[in-house]
Amino acid sequence: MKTDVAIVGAGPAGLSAALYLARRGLGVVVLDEYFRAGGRLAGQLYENPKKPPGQRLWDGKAIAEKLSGDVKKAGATILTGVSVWEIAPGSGVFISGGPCQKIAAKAVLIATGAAERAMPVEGWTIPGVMSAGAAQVFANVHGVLPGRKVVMAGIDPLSITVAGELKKAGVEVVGIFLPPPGILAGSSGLPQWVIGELSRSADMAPGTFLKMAGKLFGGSYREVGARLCSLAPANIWGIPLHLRKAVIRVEGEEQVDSVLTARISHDGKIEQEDCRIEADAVCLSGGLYPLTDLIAAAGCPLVSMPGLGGMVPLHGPLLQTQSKGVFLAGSVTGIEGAPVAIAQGHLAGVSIAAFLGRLGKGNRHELDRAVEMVGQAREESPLKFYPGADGARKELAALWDRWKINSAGGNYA
Amino acid sequence: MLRIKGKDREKGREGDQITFTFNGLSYQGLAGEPIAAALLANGVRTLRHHEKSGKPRGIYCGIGHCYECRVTVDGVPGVRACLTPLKEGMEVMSERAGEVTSNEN
Amino acid sequence: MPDDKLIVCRCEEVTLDEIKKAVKDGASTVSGIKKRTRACMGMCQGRVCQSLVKKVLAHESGNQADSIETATSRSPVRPIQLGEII
Ligand SMILES: Cc1cc2nc3c(=O)[nH]c(=O)nc-3n(C[C@H](O)[C@H](O)[C@H](O)COP(=O)(O)OP(=O)(O)OC[C@H]3O[C@@H](n4cnc5c(N)ncnc54)[C@H](O)[C@@H]3O)c2cc1C
Ligand code: FES
Repeated sequence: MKTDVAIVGAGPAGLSAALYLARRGLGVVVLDEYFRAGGRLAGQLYENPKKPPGQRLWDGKAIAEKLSGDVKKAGATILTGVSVWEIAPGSGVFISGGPCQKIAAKAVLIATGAAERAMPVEGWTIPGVMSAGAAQVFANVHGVLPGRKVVMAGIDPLSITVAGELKKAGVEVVGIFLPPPGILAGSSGLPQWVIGELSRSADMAPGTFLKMAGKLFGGSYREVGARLCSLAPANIWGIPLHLRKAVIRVEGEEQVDSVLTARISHDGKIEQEDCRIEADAVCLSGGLYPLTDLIAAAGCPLVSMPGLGGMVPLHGPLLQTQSKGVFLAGSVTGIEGAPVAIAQGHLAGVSIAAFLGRLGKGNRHELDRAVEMVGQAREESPLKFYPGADGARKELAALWDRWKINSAGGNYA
Repeated sequence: MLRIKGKDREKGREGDQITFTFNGLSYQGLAGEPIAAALLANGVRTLRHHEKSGKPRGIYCGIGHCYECRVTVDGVPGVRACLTPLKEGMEVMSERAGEVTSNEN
Repeated sequence: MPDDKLIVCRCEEVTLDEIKKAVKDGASTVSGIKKRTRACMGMCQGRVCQSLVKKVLAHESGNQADSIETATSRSPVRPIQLGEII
């Protein structure tokens, strides 16, 4: 199969790039290993308090359906159930599960999104234990609950959001607990650190649910201190949020039947085993990181940016990489919400059109406008996954400039 | 049943009630939903046993990353149950040791 | 803490203790851990446990987790059936 642009990932980033490119008349093939287009949009349903009333509802599933419909109407091909296992810079991508083995393309866009960081607990391989994201997908997308009585371990924006969604769907959420302390949980096992992170990201978080959590912890130091001293859980929509208790073991033979919790000291040590709680499912949350396997295998250097969720591929302001003809968009460039991914997808589309000489002479301003739109989406973004994203973006831009100066690779834009 | 009831959830459903088998037993599911969702709705959580330890395993990531949910579908091994849409009459089996698709080269 | 029993790599059932031991035996990179323990070498190709392995490496060697190089991802980044490449 031959086309102008191969796009890996049919999430919001990949789809909006496809829409722009197809409307410009370029041949586009979008590939996704999931059986349905939309990426992580499908699980999202929240209100954005930063938007004017009437435009606040963010129904990810509906947005995904409209976007992929528009992409097809514009003439692009979307292949689902197809995994990309290698990029050949300059010549295309290799696929598995599709109608052929290679999609030959002049440019490639990597929009592979994010993955969840694991948060292990003793017994986490027992059936019934799953990641918070898995519970979100099963409940919101497939309409099947992870269990009747669920325990959450790991306290972050994603786990709190998912806990709220599960409760609304009729699950008894027994509580949200700290992960077991130790080197794997690291700072996310420390009560003080968790409160700090929550209060910094929660005022930006989606929905009343997280806002309430924000108010709860965003108060004065004295209040936060009091909260820390208290062994009583905070209460969010009737869900106990335990800042001084951790899940330390999941128990069960063929499937989960209970979890063991322990009291945690201020500095994150186990004080005392607490109690055994009956549950039929456990959701673990350790945060999100950019899914960079494909782009790293193509030889693109990764840079450590904790503010963006971990290692991110070095890329330029027009979402270009060091490999000529290979571009990036969406959460693979750093963990941010879906509106940012959509804006980045558009920018990548314009950038690729320019790379292929298809932007047209009078249209350079489209590039500037697309860059501005990314900035605007960022400002309006309701959800901040990691405090410090803005600083990390600046640092990344500086690194790119330094690379451009130090190498002969300055033949972009 | 672990299926969410209610109108707004209804549109998330893919389609008609169909019959499939898992390890020889017959179950009902909805056409087009992932095999893993249909099994979970039936209360089935163990999808395979670990090749080395024999310990039970089920869905973990839900989106195709972890390969914990791999099963054999109509004779094809290494199929991720969380990604694969259910069809009428599908024969789903727990993966047996030796049938695993290897990624070592 | 019963660290020894905690599984880090689900695919190959490698425990935290085994990874710590590999570091003591001289492993200083993700690739080193892979060779010694098989962690990150299962079906998920490290997508679940690689960040955990890096944390252990960092902790045991006193470095920042982020300064540990990511084991270079190698193609194919997804398991493929043999028939698909020949
Ligand atoms: C579990 C989870 C929950 C989230 N919840 C929220 C939320 O509630 N609100 C919010 O704003 N953001 C959330 N996010 C953040 C999310 O990353 C962004 O909202 C947005 O979806 C990013 O868009 P994207 O297009 O970059 O990536 P995604 O939407 O993640 O899409 C990437 C696509 O690439 C595909 N893919 C990856 N690798 C390959 C390959 N090798 N071959 C073929 N296809 C591949 C994937 O199947 C996926 O469909 C969540 C992320 C995760 C992982
Ligand atoms: S549950 Fe992880 S791949 Fe299916």
